[in-house]
Amino acid sequence: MTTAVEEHPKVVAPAPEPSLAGYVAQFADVPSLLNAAEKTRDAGFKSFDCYVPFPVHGIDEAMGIKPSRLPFIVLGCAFAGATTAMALQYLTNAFDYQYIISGKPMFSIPADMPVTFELSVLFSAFGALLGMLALNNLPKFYNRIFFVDPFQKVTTDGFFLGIECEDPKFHKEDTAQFLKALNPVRVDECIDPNASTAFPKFLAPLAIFLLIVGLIPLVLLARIRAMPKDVPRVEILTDMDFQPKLKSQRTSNMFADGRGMRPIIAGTLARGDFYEDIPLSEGLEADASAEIDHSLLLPNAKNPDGTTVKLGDFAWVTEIPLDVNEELMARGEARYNIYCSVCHGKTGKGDGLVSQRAMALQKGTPGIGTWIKPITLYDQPIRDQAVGQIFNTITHGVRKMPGYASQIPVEDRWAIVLYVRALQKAGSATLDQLPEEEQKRLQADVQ
Amino acid sequence: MASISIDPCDNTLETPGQRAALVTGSNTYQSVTDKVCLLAEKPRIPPMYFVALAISVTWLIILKFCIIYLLTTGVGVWGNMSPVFWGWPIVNFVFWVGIGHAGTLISAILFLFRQNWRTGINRAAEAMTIFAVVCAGLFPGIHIGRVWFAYWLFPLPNTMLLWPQFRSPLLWDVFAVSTYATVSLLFWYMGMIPDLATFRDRATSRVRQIFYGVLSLGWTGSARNWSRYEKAYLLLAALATPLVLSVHTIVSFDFAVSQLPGWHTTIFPPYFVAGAVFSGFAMVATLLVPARVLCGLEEIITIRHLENMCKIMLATGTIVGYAYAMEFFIAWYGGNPYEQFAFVNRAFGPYWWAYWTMVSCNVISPQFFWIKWCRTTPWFMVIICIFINIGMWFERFVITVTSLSRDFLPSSWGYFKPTMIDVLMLIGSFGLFFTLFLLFCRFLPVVAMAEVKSVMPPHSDDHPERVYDQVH
Ligand code: HEC
Repeated sequence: MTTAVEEHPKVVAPAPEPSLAGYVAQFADVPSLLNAAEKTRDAGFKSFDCYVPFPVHGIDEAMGIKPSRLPFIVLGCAFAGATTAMALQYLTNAFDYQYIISGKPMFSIPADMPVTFELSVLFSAFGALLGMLALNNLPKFYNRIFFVDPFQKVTTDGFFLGIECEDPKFHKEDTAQFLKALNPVRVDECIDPNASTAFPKFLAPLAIFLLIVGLIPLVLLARIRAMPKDVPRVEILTDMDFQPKLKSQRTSNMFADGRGMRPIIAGTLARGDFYEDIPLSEGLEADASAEIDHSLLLPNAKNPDGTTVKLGDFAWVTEIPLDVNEELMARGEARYNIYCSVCHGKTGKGDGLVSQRAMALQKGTPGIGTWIKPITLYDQPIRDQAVGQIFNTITHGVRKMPGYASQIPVEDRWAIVLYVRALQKAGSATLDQLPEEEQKRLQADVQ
Repeated sequence: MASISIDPCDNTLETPGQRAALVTGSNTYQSVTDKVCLLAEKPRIPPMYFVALAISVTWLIILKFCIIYLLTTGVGVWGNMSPVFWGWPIVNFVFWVGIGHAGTLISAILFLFRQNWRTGINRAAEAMTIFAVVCAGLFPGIHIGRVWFAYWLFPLPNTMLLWPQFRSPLLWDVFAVSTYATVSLLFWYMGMIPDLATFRDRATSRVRQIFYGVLSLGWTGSARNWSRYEKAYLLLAALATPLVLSVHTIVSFDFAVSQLPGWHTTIFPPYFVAGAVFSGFAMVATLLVPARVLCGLEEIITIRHLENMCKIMLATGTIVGYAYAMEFFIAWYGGNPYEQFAFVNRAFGPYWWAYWTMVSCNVISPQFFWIKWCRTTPWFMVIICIFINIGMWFERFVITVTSLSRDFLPSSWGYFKPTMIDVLMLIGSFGLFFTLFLLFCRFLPVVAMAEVKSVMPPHSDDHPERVYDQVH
């Protein structure tokens, strides 16, 4: 042992010298190789190997190779695959994103079996290949045995046995003699040129540089995506963003009149549009409704003689034609806050956000807009209006205010009217109209 | 023994007490290597090779243009139309997946059954499997319409907070086919490592040396490595065996789990697997008969190999025929009038021509293989195999289209008509398949040399007359 160490001093040489790494003997055929392998094993060598073009039967015993641990690795992978699949299916379909399909339970073991099976096989297949490579120390592109001259034949028809210098029993002369005695075709020295296997020094900085340069386009793209833009972005795949369909208010040459939106066919009614109860659906008394031209109810309508229509003159309904109760009031409050408060404000004072913004814009640049601050809903003229007229205002709009018939169903419009009435009462109330308790509380607050 | 004179190249004769040679002629380890490396190392490639490659690449380009046209225009370029929304693309998918079954069957199942004759053909069959799965994967990929969202098939976290539906056979299919493709690739590659090392060691140019050097991962043929390698191979074979059976089973679930008359049957899994093996072997034979001549491998891929494949085709073809008959029997015996209608409609309805093409190609044509002459005459075999492939394509067409075209409401019944794009794409997929296979023949080891050598007798040059399978 000591002699071996003396012969191969571990010098840290500046320029690596070629050194003897072992001996490689070539044999004529399988039996002579098997015989040699047995002898080498019996001689007590450990760091030796046979090199053959195909798996040779019986060589494991001849060399004393222990069974591989590979099956256990693969078994572990199979379990990992099965667990992953089960966990994946549980977490996605039974936990994070549950929905019922074909009446199957959220976590259905029979339905989960195929994926579980597939993933177990997938994981174990990777385990088998990668485990085999790892245990075999592959990939290993620099191998000193490749420098032995006839060794190229190993993948065609060469049968070799190599003893490495790391073996404690290795001896420069004795081992060579030992191999020659095994009846080989030839014995060669394996000289390790000790060529440097380290990566060239410039590679690391170069790699980092290339990585950074390569990232620049991606960073630029990310930046472009994140920045605001006034023109539509270039879309490579537009998906369903642009579809050949007609949107409202668009023209179309498919129809003679060029309109994309089609008027209702004469004599037809849309579902849910028909109310036999005129006061409920129009806010007008039934006989009055039969007499008047309904176009006069629209915003900014003119009488045939050119004068502006006085809406107050119509025979409006004066009582809400629905059961007035807490429920209707609550409904009205909610609908008012959704539809009306943006302009009229939550109290009806006309200070909704839309109105504030419009006023602010107009103030900066005079003449830019024609916005009119909505009238305060609890002002006397509106308090004097019949409920039917307020209903009509919501239905058709008035002057600057658009109609809401298309968004708000009839019953909800009445609910809003009720709530407007409540706002009016609250907005115009005097102190003595409040219940006594409230009066006291307010007075306490003021003081 | 000596009194019986045997043609050394005919290994189809059964001599009692002897195993037929798996490699004919007087081959040594060296000559096997030389023959297998011939096409990959030849300085002058046979002109036939270029002719074949040119035709395949032309069709590949046509396929490419069809796909571009499809992607820019939409799936309306196909004949898929209500009520048949699964038209040719799905037919082609099932057809190609089926073809892709022979390779792994040969390498895994025949390995476990210790069928040593598989060594001559397994590499080419595995390669064919992978290329067929590539063709198969193409069709559902483009069938989803917006291909750039194909990754939605996989369970990936996304901003929509959605997950795929694991209780659906279509998702099982995604897992089954992608697992199968991956495992087949691993199996194929692992089997090739020692042979790639042979290419590396024989390389005469630096480029080849580096290319095959990197691919062979530094393989030395060390016995310690071989020992683990063989264990890994055995494990992969054991894993791939149930996998092969599972793939077409799950593909058949795409149909069988639905509630459509003609699809909703329990016979589908075994029937699909048998059909897949049947069509896969037909395709292997179709490819290998010309390839063995082109690559000069007649002594390694022998007539006996071809004959064995014919026997498997005869067996699986007959199973398929039995399944056809059984489907009808169950439709009658089950007493479900819709099921009965679906089958009567298959055979005598508007698609009768497809049905009878299928039956005559799949059930009748393999029966020729009872006759030894048919099994041992390569050109005749190829003709039968082409018929089988046509028949198997029609089988998928019949299953998919006849059931769908008769919707539940007679008012929505329809007749499926393919478009030109459908036809071009099917032929184009063959272009893709053959291009890949021809490139494989040119650049990779076509035969598993190491495995062939391990079943060769050690001193074949001493016994040129008759060589026997080495029995371990
Ligand atoms: C887009 C803003 C806007 C919304 C939303 C809006 N209004 Fe108005 N409303 C106005 C403006 C502006 C006026 C004043 C019109 C004018 O005087 O030219 C007005 C006027 C009114 C009037 C007085 C009509 C009259 O006869 O003088 C009533 C009542 C009224 N709105 C009720 C409502 C109700 C109820 C809603 C909810 C359904 C609503 N408004 C939603 C802008 C709005």
